[in-house]
Amino acid sequence: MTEITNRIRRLRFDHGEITQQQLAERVGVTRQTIIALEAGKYTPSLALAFRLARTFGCNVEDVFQYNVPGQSVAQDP
Amino acid sequence: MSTQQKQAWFMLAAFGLACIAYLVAGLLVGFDRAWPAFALYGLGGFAGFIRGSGKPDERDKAIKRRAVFAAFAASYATLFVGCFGAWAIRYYWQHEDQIPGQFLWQLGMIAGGMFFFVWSVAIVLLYGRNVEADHD
Repeated sequence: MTEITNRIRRLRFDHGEITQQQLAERVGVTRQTIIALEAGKYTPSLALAFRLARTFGCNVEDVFQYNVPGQSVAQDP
Repeated sequence: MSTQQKQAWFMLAAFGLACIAYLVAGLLVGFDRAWPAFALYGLGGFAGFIRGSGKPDERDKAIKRRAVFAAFAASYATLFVGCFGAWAIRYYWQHEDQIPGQFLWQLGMIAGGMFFFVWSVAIVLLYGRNVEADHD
């Protein structure tokens, strides 16, 4: 089983405490979708993942983490 | 609440109303003659006029696609089981080799109702569950 987690809530607060509604408007989705993303109930498309990352001014990997249970996360050399 | 969530709840309310009407009519005139009460389910058609907040985004579209797929599968299964069941009952228990013609349009209506019922339930459930974006 694979699992994708994210740091959207943390990043929202780190970037001026923008609201879910404001973030939703910036990336072109509904507030419900932001809520579902933060709750880990929605895995977004690649395009939305990039839009979120650019809104926060970071890489996709800084927003989303791909975790496979039973495997350690690969570290950069 | 999104447009399709509101539409799904409206259709489930129409279905609930039709069930209540069937029970009440059944107690009054007998359950064999109370089936027309399910015509009230047709009120669900007005769900098409309901509009929710905002435009549908990629998550709404992914949920819609899954709900329509589940509804089509349920509807098709109803048709298949209905036709096969009717033939089995007629052939093995009633020793007839034909299905009454009126049964087919009744089965068609049941399959149609099944489509919208399963669509509504799937929409309501999927908004609370894990969903992945469509990649196509």
